[in-house]
Amino acid sequence: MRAPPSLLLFLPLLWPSLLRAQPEPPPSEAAAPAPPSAFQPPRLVHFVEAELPAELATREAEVLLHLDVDAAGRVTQVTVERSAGPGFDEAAVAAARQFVFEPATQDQKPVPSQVTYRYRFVQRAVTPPPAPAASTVPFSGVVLRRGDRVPLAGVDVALDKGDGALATVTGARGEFRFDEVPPGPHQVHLRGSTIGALDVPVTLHAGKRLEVTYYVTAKEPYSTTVRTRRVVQETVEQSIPIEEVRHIPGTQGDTIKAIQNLPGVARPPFNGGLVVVWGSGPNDTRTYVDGVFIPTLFHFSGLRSTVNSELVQSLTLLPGGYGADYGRGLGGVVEIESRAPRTDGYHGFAQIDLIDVSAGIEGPINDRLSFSVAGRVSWINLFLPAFLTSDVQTSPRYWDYQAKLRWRPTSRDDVDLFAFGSDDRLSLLLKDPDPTLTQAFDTHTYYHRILGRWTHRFASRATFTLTPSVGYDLPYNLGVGLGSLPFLIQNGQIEYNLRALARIPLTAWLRLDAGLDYEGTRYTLNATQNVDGGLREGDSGGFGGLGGPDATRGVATDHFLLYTNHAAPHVALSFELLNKRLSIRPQVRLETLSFSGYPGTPRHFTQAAFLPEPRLTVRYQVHPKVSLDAAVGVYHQPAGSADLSSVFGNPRLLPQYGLHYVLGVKVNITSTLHVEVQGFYKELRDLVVRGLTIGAPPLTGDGIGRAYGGELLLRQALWKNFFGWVSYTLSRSERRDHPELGTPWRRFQYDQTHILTLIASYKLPYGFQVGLRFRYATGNPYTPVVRSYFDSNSGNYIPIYGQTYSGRLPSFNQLDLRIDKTFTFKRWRLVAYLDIENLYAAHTAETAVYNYNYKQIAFVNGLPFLPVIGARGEF
Amino acid sequence: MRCSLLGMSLLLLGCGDNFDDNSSRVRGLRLLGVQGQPAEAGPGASVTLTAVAVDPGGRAITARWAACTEPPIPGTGLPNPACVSSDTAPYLIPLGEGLSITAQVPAVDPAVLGAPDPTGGVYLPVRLRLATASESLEGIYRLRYAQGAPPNQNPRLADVSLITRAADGSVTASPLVESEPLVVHEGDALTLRATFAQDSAETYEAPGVGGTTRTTKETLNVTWFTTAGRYRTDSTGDGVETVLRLNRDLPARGQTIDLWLIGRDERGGLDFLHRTLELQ
Repeated sequence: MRAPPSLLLFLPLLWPSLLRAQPEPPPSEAAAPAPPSAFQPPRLVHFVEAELPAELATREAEVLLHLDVDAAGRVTQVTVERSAGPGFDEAAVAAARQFVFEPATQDQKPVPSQVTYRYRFVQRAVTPPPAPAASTVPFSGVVLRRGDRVPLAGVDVALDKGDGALATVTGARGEFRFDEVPPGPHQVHLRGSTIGALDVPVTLHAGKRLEVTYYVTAKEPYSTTVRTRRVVQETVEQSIPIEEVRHIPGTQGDTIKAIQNLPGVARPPFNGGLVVVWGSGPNDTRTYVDGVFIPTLFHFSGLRSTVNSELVQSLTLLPGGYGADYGRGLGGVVEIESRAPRTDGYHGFAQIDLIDVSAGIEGPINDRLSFSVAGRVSWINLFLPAFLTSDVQTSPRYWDYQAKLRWRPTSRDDVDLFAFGSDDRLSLLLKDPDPTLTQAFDTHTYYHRILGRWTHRFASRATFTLTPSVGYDLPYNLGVGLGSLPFLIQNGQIEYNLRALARIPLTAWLRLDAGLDYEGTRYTLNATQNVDGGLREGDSGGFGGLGGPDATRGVATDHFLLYTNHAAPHVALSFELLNKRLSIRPQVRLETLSFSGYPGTPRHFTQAAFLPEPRLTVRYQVHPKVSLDAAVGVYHQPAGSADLSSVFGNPRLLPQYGLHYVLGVKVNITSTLHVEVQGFYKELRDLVVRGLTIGAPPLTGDGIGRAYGGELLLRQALWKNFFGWVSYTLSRSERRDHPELGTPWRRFQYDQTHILTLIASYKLPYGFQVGLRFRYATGNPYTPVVRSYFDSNSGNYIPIYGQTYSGRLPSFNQLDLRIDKTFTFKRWRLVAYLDIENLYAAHTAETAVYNYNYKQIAFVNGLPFLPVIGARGEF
Repeated sequence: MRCSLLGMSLLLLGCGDNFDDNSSRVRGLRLLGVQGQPAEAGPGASVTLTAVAVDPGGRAITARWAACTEPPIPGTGLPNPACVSSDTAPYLIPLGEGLSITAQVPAVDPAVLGAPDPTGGVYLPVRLRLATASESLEGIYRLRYAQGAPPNQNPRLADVSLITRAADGSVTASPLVESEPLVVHEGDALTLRATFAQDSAETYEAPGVGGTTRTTKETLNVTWFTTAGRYRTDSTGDGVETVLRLNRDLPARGQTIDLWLIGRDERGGLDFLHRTLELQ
């Protein structure tokens, strides 16, 4: 969800003070820094003091202003939201018109924003005449936030009270200074609306200057609520502040896992890492980090995300109807933006729980260069053997890393170099007294990426971003021994991508976006596996397992080399009409897909497709608090590389086609409470399905599909120590594998009629925070067995299935609890947490299983109760 | 229910038996295996098919055999379910009736038998329909279709022995004899071990990883069945022990308990043994 374009800032109370206008602290510094987010609020860089008529000079007053700030940081409009009376209003408006902001940024690009500004006129204490210079000494210091040493700007620093008192306000780096202070004992008083009051004695000695550092407790770390939306970019996108996401129960603090709590996202089996949005397959939703595709979002099927949350600035889910800058996926888009390394000193973190450990550090190298480095490694393999029998030996390990360098050569340029990757390895030996049932798995999956990103902001407010990247994937590497029978599946992929985007404001009401999305790959497959290539959507079976290699079925071998070159120039026009109440964004993406397989061999094939993809998004602001959104768009998705194998797939598979329709309404009930309702319909064609013709390729593009439904999100952003939301999705997703043969519609593999998520979190005193999550979802479909026969060769019964996915697992419901306790020290902060999944040990049916002859059915449940204890320190 | 899970999901699941019966417990009509003699045959060859079919109630069992030439459903590699869904389809070639028959292998195009299995073999499905007065069931024996390579031979189960361990650690293996039922008592835990005759595990050429050919030796296994008690494990390898606990589903004293052992290689070869226990 996107928040409205408003920003509420709080002015620190001044004490003691002289009658003057107080600059409101910049949002990123006045309160605790806003949590990393796609949106960065505007920052006041030039404050103008109001000139009051003499007759008002001794009175206190407060004017609440609403400022429109353009993408260049200029104040374009000032309106009085709450008057203080004649004289004050005019003075405040006149002063505010002269303010200059560092513009707000969305995804590091300047965007217009709106600011609610409280302009206070307060009584300033009269500073006594300075004492003779010879009898005074300088006194200076900085004010930092306890725990993470973030400099606090806008804090009132007063030296003593009453006559002889001195007062000042901390600057952008938290600094303050008194040039001439009489030696002797004094009291320093620190005050501000976002900090706890602090009174500190200090003694100055003649002839000695004194520099101090004060650590103050942030009274309300999240008092700045950042809520925004892109400027008519996406009709439906969901963004939640990272600080909220961290406290969602059941995610173990993993920001990215929280995506599974958003509306429209189905609950994956076994709490796994599949992202199923709006009835599309997991592989139909693509994940990008800084605009670069990554193949794996989670370690080991959902255990942990492969991108460290600490380096994530924003996480956005675009469930459908998204813009032309993304494509090649019939489902949605998961967009992860890494954040810039911090420049306000060196900071770091370390985290440990029962599963893994991670650590990172970041900071400035010089004025223009900063860095961040983070890494994570699992250690579950160290203690797991204690819980296993001698018949089961396993060694699961994973690690990931991120290293980022940011160079800001000029105020208009940012250059990032970002390397990141992930590696999962699992060796598993299942010993059995029967040697033909002894199974040895050795799987290895990894990806690595290096990307560069150059962003230039032109004086004309245009921006240009260029992102070249290279990478290497091992999407799936499996070696299996079943008795004496070996299976091998090796995938490998080299990626070379380029993404470019220019955003060019043409007029006050029209912007042109133009870009290129290029992805090239060199894919290799070396496989000896069952001829069906493993389970895929639409297959029956998989009971009690994941459809691994099977000695009963036929096997085949292929060595497959495939080159792909996909280039998509795209262009969009953003019209802002009717005083910006109506936004229209027509877009087109010219998708060009090309494939070259088995080069230099008799099986060599080439294939190319040119696919125009028109898209349109419209937003109409019916009321300042109500907006309507609509989107329609055409999407294509090439078949998976392995599906183009001439042995296991079909080189002639055409790109799959999708048409999305979205309609929604958003209502901002209050500044922190809002509700969204969306309806969607997806039409799918040319879906890859199993062929039914003997002698024909194993896969064809005959399938069609449809998904439709609606979703509701009622969200309370942090307000009075509480945040939470209710999301509900009602949907239906269906497929028809061979309409040319009259096969009927069937349910989609992950079709879930009802998906309900309730999240509530409350901040308690003494650093405690408690949260609850409740989830309900319709059970996933499964294909029932209608009869079976005995296979003499294997000694097993072989099932004969009924209508595909005509059965339903029991519905899922679960309550999760999370308790955080934050210990704040001067220079660092420690957060200990207890995360308990399935608090009341509900039976969560994850799959169906049958007895040996398929006459009886039962359900395998997930874990009844999963407590995870962890701790995280940061400085 | 045996779980063969891939990935970490294995660690998060409670896999195991969820049912009150298991495959080794024989309660009613069961087909335990089919032996083809020879174990691998080409078109026109004569083959003797023997069904290891049991019914603890002693009812008469009828058996009808038919070869099935319907190709496997693409993508599965398994015999086509149509092979068991009809009695009169044109793709069914009747072979005879009776628990043991001798028939000629019909000639079929090997291409319609599906992709070779990991041992390099293709198989002709032979459908078997068993029935008693009150029960019926279907089974398929996949006859390894000879294609010129040295044919597979059935393995041979040499014996099944009762293993006893003395206090001094010495181990005694006492072969069970079909004609002399072993006397047992309620609560006994019998350690049993089946062994194959020498050379039962043959060496053969099989497709290797990446299109290569590899010389490999057959892996043999034994599946255990009983009419009473429960095995610790009902599937073992050559010379591997299992334990039969006589603590449930026991007959009246003086009655007998039937044990069956089915030995298999991985290329469709099979042998079987029957032994009897007498409960006192």
